[in-house]
Amino acid sequence: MRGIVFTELLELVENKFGYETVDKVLQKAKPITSDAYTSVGSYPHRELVSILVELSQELDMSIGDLMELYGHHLFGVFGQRYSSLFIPGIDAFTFLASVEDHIHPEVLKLYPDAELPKFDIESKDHSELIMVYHSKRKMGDFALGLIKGCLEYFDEQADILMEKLNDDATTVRFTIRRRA
Amino acid sequence: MMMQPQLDSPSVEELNLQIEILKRRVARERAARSSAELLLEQKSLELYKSNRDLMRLNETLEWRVSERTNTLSSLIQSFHAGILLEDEHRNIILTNELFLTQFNIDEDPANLVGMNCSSFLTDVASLFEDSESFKVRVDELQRNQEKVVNEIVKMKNGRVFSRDYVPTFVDDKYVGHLWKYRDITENYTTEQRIKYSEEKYRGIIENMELGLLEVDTDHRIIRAYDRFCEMTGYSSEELKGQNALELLLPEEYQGAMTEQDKKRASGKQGIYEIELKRKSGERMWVLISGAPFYNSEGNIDGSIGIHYDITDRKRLEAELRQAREIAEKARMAEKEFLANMSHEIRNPINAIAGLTNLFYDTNLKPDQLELLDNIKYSADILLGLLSDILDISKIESGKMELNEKQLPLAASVKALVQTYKFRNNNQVKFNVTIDPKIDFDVVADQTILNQILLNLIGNAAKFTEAGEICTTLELIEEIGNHVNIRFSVRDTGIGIDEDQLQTIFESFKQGSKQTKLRYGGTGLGLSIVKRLVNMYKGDIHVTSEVGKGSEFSFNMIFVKRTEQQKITDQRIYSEMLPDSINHVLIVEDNKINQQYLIGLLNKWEITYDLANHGGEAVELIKSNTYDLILMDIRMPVMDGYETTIRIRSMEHNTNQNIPIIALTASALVDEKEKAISAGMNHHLSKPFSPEQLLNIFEQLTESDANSSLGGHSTFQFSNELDIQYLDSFYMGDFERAHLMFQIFLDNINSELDKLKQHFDSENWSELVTLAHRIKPNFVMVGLGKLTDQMLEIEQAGKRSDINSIRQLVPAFIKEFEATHQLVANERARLSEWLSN
Repeated sequence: MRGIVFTELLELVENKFGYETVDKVLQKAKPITSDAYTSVGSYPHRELVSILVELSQELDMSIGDLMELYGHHLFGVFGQRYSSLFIPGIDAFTFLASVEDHIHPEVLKLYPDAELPKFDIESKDHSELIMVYHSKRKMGDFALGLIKGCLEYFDEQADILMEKLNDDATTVRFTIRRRA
Repeated sequence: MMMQPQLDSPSVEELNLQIEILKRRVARERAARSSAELLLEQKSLELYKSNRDLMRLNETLEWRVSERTNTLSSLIQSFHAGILLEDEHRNIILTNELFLTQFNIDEDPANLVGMNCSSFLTDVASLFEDSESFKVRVDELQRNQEKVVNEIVKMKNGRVFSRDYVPTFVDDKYVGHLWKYRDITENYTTEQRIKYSEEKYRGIIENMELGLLEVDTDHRIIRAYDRFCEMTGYSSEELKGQNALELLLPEEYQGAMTEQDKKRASGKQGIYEIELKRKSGERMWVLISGAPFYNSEGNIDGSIGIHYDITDRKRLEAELRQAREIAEKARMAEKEFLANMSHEIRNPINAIAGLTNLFYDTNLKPDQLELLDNIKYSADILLGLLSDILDISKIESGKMELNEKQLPLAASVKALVQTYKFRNNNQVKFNVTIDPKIDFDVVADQTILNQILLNLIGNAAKFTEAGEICTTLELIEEIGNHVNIRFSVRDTGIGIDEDQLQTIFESFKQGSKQTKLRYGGTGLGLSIVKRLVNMYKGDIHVTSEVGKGSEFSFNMIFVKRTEQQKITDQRIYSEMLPDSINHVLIVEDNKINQQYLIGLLNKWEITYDLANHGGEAVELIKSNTYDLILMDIRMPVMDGYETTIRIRSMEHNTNQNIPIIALTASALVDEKEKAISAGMNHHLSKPFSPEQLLNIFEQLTESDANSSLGGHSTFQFSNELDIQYLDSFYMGDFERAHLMFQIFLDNINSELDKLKQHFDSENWSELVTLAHRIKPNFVMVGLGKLTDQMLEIEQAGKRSDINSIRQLVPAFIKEFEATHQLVANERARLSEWLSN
């Protein structure tokens, strides 16, 4: 898991609840590698899960809600930090549809060991986009947050239907319908 | 939900906790920084290494590119064509020395790299023969960005270039282009010269009204020349690309064309006549001379056909053919007319002449005798004219028959001239001079010889008032038993104009119209003489002087005979009246002819029966026995041929093998042949004299006597054959026997083949019919057993006894194969005997 996911999460917690919460969570979570995360590093996924589990108890929020909230926030961070990488003049659907074929290959060039989810575009037209998420990390909620953040970034309104296509939630379908 | 630190009253525990948290935070931050620094250092080291590798790769690539560019450049420099490589903005990438020389640019190729070509355009354009169209074309090529090669461009200095334009694309993006100029002046002019010369000859051929057509190997028209278009009615555009065979060739000639194709494929030329379909649908006849043409590799590329319109010639041919058919028909009609005329005219003349002869034997007063002489004289003239005309037609149709016998030449000629002495006045003397060396007999047709001499002497007498007519015979040459004798008849008459000498031997030509008026005649005499002389391999000539006289001379080649033989034709008929002929059957429908024959027979005290046609004759034959039958050919009810065949096939009748004399009105040889093959023994052409009939009687009794005596001058049939039958059937007429044997041999094999076919296919009715028909043939060549076997087969057939036929036919064939060679042997013996 890319370090930025850890650092941005901890920074968000610190900004919202103070460093005490960050410290409490990290201490409880007992990360194996280190509890000092840097955005340029790469860390085991289960450490993020441990942090989220602790955070969920601390804040009395479901892990799903937490991940969605965090995804929403993280897209805003990407939008600010990497705005130069965004192709001007495109809309949210086009961006989302290009994640699998454009964004992920670029990420892999920079970080060859990155483990990325897979998106299949089932259909796309001006009013509706159907994309299916595949990942053994089961982070569909995180993806939902990112999609929401994306719509907000492009200032577009849409309703999102999220369906788990299997029991362990490794496959999730998003039907994004633009609001008239 | 945010936890605010309580700054106003922090407890020590709280502070300690805060400190602990801060310490942990600092530791975490430090650890994070150092791990980040480590990561970044690693990353930058990786980047440095990558960068260094990239630089090295770049250097290698650059070196390779420059090496390749150098190679390319030197290649282009040494190219035998001007090369100019431009980028998409028309900046020069590469060019070569030759290009700069071609376009008078005094620069080093290397210096020009990067320069823009548009700066040269005007200068370069001015070198082209047509500067404007050069510029237009160059712009057009660059706009289209399509490869164009081998474009011919001409320069002002007379050089000719072949130009290639090749656009270059990288990933479908146009990045520039290449110009290539190749100097082809020499080739081009040669080619032009060849083309010009080809065109010249094509022009000549076209002007000769010959239509040229070039087709490829699939008959697609490559080029149709003007004259061909004119011929067929199509325009050259309409023809180009079409299949020549489908468009132009009528269906019925497709097969013939395939043959021609095979010939052409093997490189052979061919000339043939066929019809073509014109655009209008009309047909036209053309004479085509087709020949393949080859490409530079020597393979056949197609063929060129030269077409000559022969429609008019074909039409003319058809007209000529039609005209010839009409003429042919007219000739046939003429021939028929002559045959009919001989029948229609000869019969009455025969009657007049014959009855006159009988009249002489009555008691006549002197004035009646004179009248009768006049009648006889006129009848003779008529007969003469008629026989002249018939002779000509006989000779012309090649059917003149030579009736050769041994005769004493000198005596015969003397006797002939002698007869003239009494016919003419005393003012003309008839002299005969005969070479003393001519003391032998010759084999000749006396009638023909007499006809020649009588014509010439008669002619001379006609045109000679006084003086002498001299007949001379001279022996020119003697080789073995062949003698060449020159005859001449010289007169002291009026002579012949020189300009008429040339045509005097042609039919119906007389000296002049005046001659015809004054002297009469048919104008056929000399023409007949010439033809008769030719029959004896001789030539006739005439020399003449007007007012002094003429001389006709000819030569003839004879076979000489020295052996003395009895002369028969000098006998007086009353002395030789045969006593073996006592009872005769006359078969004749013509009343006058009947009367003539009856008169003769009465005079000779021979009894007779009279049949008006063949039907009556067959009835009479059944109940009477005759010594001889006089048989007319053309009769109502049953003609002479059929009657004869009936008589010959009447078995167990005493008259079956009786001598039959055919009396034909036609003098044509084929009628005689027909009569003989029908089974008749002799032939007499009407009108005939009593002497002629008597001669035949005499021959019959002689051969009868000979055969009964068995003298050495008689042919002996081989005793393997049925001698008794053959002797009684042919009665010493071995010529007829020879003819019958020959006819048998000519036909029997095909008849036997038919018999075998019918037998194999079990076609019994045809087989029996055939057996009936060929049954008599075998006994006539002395194979009586075969005739008997045929009769058995025929009788089995009538009983529908197929089993017997199945046994009889193979037995017959076996017998035939064992004996038929005897017939061939006998024919050869007969032939040998007759030629001695």
